[in-house]
Amino acid sequence: MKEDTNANINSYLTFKLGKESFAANVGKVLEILEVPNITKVPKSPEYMTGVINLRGNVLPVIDTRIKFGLPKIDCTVNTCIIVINVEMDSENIIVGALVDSVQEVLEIQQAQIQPSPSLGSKYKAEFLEGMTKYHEDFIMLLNIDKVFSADELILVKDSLIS
Amino acid sequence: MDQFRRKFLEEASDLLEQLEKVLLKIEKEDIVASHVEEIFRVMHTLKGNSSMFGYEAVSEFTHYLENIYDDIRKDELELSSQIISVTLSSVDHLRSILKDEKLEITSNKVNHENMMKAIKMLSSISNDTKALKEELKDNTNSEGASTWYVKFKPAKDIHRTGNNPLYFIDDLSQLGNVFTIADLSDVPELTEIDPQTCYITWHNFIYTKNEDDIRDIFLFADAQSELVVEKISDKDLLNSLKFSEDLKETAISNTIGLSIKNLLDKYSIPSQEESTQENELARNNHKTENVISSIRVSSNKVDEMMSLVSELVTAQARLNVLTQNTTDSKVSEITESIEKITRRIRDNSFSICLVPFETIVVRFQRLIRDLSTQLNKNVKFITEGTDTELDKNIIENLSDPILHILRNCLDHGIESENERTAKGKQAQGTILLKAFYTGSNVNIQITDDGKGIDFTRVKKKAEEKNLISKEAQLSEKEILNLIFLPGFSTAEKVTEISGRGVGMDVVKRQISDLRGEVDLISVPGKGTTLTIKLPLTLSIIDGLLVRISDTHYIIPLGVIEKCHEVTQEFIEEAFDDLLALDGERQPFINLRTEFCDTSTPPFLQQIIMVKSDDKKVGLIVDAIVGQYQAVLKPLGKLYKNIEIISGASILGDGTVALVLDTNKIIKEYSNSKMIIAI
Repeated sequence: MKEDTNANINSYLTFKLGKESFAANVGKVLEILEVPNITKVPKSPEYMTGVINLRGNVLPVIDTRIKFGLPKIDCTVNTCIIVINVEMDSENIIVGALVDSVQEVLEIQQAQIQPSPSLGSKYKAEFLEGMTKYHEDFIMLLNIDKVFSADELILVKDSLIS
Repeated sequence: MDQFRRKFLEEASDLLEQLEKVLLKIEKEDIVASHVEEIFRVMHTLKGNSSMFGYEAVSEFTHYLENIYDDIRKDELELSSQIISVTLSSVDHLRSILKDEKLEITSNKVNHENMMKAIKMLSSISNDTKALKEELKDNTNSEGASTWYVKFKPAKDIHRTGNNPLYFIDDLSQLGNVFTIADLSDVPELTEIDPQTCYITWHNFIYTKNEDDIRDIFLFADAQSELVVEKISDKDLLNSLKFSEDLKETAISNTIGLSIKNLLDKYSIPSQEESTQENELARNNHKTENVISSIRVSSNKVDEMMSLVSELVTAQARLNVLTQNTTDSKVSEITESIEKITRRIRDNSFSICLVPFETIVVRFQRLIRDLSTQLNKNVKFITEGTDTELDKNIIENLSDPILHILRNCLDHGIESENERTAKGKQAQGTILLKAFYTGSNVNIQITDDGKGIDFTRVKKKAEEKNLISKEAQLSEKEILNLIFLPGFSTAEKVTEISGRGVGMDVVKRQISDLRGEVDLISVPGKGTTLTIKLPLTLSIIDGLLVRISDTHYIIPLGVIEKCHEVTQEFIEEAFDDLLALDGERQPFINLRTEFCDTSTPPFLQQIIMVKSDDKKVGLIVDAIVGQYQAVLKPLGKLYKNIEIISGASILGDGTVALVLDTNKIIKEYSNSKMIIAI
């Protein structure tokens, strides 16, 4: 029942990493936080920023920039953590995704979503649900479950976005 | 409905466990009447419950079993070891058919038929003896019977408890000549009738010998039912014409209750009054004992309460930090009292989560019993300190390792009877399972007086399996620890019972998953002692809070031996990763470099000496913050590969501290060193 409602939501939360825009289905988003004090966990992969205290629970935080192959930058006023619900091995876990800035919530109809081009894309096709055009900008709709449960980096090529 | 079924299954498994316990007790001690009573009661409850929930196979099965014990109870059948064996295997069978009520699995079905046959055979023996005894009884005891008045007014909700009052009346008629009058005067108008309520009172007149027999029938009517048993006359009034006529008159009268009273006054022996009063009194006493002393709570609720308490403790720590900065005495006063209450709530809720060790002991007794017969070894199993309490999560995970250890004791440890007498030992071997507290730990000790562990054989075996090199010089302790290596099993032959090579290493791993330790002492020819040391609870640990640059870490207090303060210079001068401390050269791990922290270290640093598998290693940190009661939180799935951190805890200021697993740190460190050396 719950999954059905989530799947039918056409609202997407858009956020920015560097210059590119991405979007996550709001059904997956629980809340948006300011960046608190993050405790780094030693010997963890670089994209795993660390853990934070979310009202008494320990929440792992992933640096989406590094996960997407972008260079690490210092936090700004706009940097925030999107708390998302990720299905991983048929289990729901909650993770925080560190992003450069959160933009807005958009209504994107199914018809407006184009399949992502399999050739020439910087990102592996399985991590994207599709793309959409909005004010001359391309927004990449992410498959949240895949993106945040994968151990690997999302980037296909070694080239970085400049 | 499902929820009720679940409850039934839960209760049934409790009942079966209770049954198993009593059976084993009977076998060990003498047959005590109260034990037989208990078995009978358990069977009866199980029968009633299962038929109420439609478990026909179970209820039919228990019905026959119950009959046997009913006969034993009445001294019509002797409790033989055969009966106990059959009952024990019945317990196993019942466990499996409770999961498979329709007997869909073929093995269950075959089993069921076999078991039924075995039980019916037993009850046929009982029928024979019964017939014999009955004959005797008839000869001697047809005299001495008397006429009794039995008033039975069932509790209104008797139908809801799965009882049928008519069965009681039926049973009563087995005892002798009965005249029953049903008093329907309490039955309301049809429109007001609740079909689940019992409105009827039965007045019975019976000619029989024994008052206890009558009372026994109503044993299972619950305490709210009203039962009056009164002796009316020593003669068989039911055969007297006048009485019968009076009875018939009473039966058709409109006020049955009153007429019966008159009737009784007319015929009864006056002296009986007193004894019935006494009976009433006894029954009232019994009632007060029935006050509920414990309740059943689902473990989910308890778990939830525990996590709430953990949050409370964390919130309390934050409040303490805030109060330290205020000068308002009133605020600090309140904080202090809240702190006290919090601590008490914490201790209280922890104690709720504790269950006595006893709850799993039955399984062990059963294993020893079955195995010793199978291996033909004479073994006495003694348990001590079974009231020692442990966290329920630990208890649940403790049963498998202990079962394995006990199997090893029996299979490898205890010798056969002949071997033992040849060695001048008592023919009967002893296995002692003992639980006791030491500080904030619970120890579980398993001692056998068998042949002990053969050091040379263990070493040879380890060499064969390439677990150690031939030249290795090992102390006895080190040799014993070889047993815990994966892939080590000394049994020459793989037996069904033990020796599949997945033995002690799994035990050790399961115990260390519970943050416990295993210690093994063995004297050849004398026996082996294995001690499992466990924390009292899994969710809170006493730790030392330390800091490396900005990150806080917690080291469990249990592993810490000593702390030293050293300068950066002293560490840099260290040669070959060894530091001279306390006149000894000690290995150390600089956690700052180990955790890839590149900031400059402070001038003064702390070395915390921790012990791990009999080794002592120093861990270098920036500073010691203090002792801290850490509420453990899991790091979650994303960090499952980070073994050196066993969890996290939230500090008073809201930041997260990481709990270090020192054993894993040392292991990982020495592994990485070895790779460099190669």
